[in-house]
Amino acid sequence: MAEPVLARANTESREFRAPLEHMIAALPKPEEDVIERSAVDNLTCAAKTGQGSLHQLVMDLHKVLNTMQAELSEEHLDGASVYRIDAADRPLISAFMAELNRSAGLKFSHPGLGTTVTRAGD
Amino acid sequence: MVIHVKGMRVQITHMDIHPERIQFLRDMLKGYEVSWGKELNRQADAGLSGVSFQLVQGQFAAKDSTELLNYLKFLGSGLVFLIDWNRARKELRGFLKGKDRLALLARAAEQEIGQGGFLELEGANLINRAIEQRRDSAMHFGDRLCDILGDEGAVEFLRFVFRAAMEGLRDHQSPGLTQDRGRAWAVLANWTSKANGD
Repeated sequence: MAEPVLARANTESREFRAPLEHMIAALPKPEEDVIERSAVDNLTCAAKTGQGSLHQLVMDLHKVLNTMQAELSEEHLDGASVYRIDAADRPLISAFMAELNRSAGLKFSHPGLGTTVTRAGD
Repeated sequence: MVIHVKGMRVQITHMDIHPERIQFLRDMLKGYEVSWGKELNRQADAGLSGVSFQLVQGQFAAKDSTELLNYLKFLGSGLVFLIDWNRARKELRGFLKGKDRLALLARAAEQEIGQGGFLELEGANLINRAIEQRRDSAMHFGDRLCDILGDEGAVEFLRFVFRAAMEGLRDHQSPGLTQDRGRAWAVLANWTSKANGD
């Protein structure tokens, strides 16, 4: 997950490298049968102020990846990031997105329903 | 979720750590002749968690372009109800029996109310605060709402709460106002009175 972010030679990517390496090094070894509660807490909790957690790092990476993906998109069609679609695809995408957008308000502040469309095969 | 459209065929590939939500998805699409494959149990790649999840595929073959569009529209409109579905199911544990929780969430999706409003207003806490503020409440520690109101009464009340929460947020009403809405209090007054034998 981190590879595309780390591959970018920018400040943001550099800021991820050190904490990621630190957290991976701190992970319990897979051959151990018992994991300490504190290790589970560290893996799963969202970060408190001034602290980090792997869960928080994953969420932060996810946000960066979403931004990168949006930047790569050739086009946006009714809210979907679309790549290399044909003209005949547009009515289907628009129909799907119209209804998705219509009901999306029911998730209120929860993130989600990000949509990416592309042609496969051919 | 991956939706693959080829000609008149639509294939959904869905992965979920909650088998119950997969069933919810299937039920939501029961109005269309979706052919579901066997649910496959998969393990996340070796690494952090080894979390297992279910993978399922559903195939729909539209008879014409109109049906294809209708199916895609319906699918688009329903995806929001998958969000936090399991969290809502858990939040309802203190109030309803299992089958009634599933039925409530299904109906909330059918009516395009959903669980988002209920969760946005803190889910179970929304109900618990209303109950706690009733000093004459007949509920005791460990009671579920369905034990006091009966299954049907509890379901009806939760339906009201789901709708009130959604409408309150949609209409930019304050959460406090949503909680205090006259009908909610009237419902509570009625049921606590009944519980007290009034």
